[in-house]
Amino acid sequence: MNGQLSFIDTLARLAANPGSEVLRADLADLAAEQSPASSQLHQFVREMLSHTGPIIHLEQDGRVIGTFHLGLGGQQASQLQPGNYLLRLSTGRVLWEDTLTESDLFRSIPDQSLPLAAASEARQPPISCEELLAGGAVVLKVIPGFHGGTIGIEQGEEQA
Amino acid sequence: MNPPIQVVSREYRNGKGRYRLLPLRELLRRIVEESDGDALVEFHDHRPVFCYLDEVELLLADFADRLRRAAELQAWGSTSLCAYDLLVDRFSKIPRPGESGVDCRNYFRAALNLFVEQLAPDELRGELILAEILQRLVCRHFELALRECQRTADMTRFDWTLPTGSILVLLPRGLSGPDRRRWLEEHVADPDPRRSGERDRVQMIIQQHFRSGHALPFDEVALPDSALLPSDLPRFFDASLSVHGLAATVAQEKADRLQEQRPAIRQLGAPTLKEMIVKIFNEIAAGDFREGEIAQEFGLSKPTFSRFAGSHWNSSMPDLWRNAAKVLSGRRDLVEIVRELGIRPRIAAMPGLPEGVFCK
Repeated sequence: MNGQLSFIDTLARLAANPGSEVLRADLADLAAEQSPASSQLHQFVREMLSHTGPIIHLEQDGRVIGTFHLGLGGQQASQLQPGNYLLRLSTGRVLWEDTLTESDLFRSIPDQSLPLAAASEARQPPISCEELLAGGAVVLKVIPGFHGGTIGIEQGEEQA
Repeated sequence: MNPPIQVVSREYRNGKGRYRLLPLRELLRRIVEESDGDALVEFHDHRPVFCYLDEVELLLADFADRLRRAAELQAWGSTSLCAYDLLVDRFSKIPRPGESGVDCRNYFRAALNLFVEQLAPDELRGELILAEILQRLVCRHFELALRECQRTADMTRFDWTLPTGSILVLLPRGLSGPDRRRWLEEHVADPDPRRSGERDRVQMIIQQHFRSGHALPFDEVALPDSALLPSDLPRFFDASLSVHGLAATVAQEKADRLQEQRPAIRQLGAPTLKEMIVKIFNEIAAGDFREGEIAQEFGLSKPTFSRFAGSHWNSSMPDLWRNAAKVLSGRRDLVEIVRELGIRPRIAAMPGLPEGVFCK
């Protein structure tokens, strides 16, 4: 007897009967466990979701420094230093390219003597760049930080 | 094997051209409708839309090479090299005006014709669908090229000289020198080298006679879209997956792509592989998956079976489960349920980046 892969059967039955509360509960219970079977379920879901959206590579000065799986939801790369950045779809198409400078990627440490309201405002991360790419399918944000900038991408609203 | 295309513009050479920003569909449209050589270079040099087993983002020439090596292992021998050349030619040559010969525009046109815009909810998914169409189109044409090369391996060239010119044809090796002319004169009525398409007509008569109607025309004739099987179509087209269909769908997909499987799995052959996959799914559904027994029944070693469909893994998910995940990912409602239930992938740090640089 081997129940390690029972989630595959559950997922397949759920595909045929999406309304089944019993199957949903089975899956949710397994997902919450700390067990090898649960770990495999999470890997399986990751594999599933990685096929549901495009893969986008982030390059810095001609070198791939990370990969976004858009199907896994919004993702970001942080602690980025000034340089030439490029987003390339896994099929080779370039979606965006720009040179990000210190002023794009760094923000100054807030003054401790600021009044409360101003300090709260300073905690909101400012966005130095926000662009819609590929006809609005992807939203790109560049957010400056204290130790380096962040590039975040997420699916455009019309994709939800 | 470089495509016989000249890079023409400095803009392109500098890599800063507009081509790299173009969607794949637009790139193919320019090749087909405008015979755009730069677009063709961009496709061959910078669009890695193919994958082979675990290797992703392969350019067409690299993908064709993987198919060649796989065919070589399956005892196709030198035929595989011939098929490789034929395949690369078919996807890289644009004849000059007035010239005949292989024309890649026919093959790219077939890919564009298969693209159904309504199934692509946005530009990026459209790109992925078209990439998958190309993947399957190239696989299909490699199979056709193998068969074509195997047939022509038994033929030799003969220059049939006539009062108005000559026609270069392929004739069976067994037909000796003087018999060749005699045979052609007896079987080909009214030959005229000046007539358009005459070489194809004569070759068709030869092949129909010697090959029981299995003739393939020369390359200048576009292969019809029907050269693609229904299973060649991307999974996005399959909206009818059911619980009983998962095993059948995965089994069919694996069998269709037998050539891309690991050698030990490939050796099972398509019918046996399908039978084994259905048995695996049935046992899982019954809660009684005995992998050791299945491995033994189908003559596979435990490590081989484990890599293919093992029930325990650490980091590298077995091939069959990757495939099942891919098939299930085509069900939008199921994907939504998984998200609703909050089953979030546990994301590891990306290689090459300091830990924690990427986060959800």
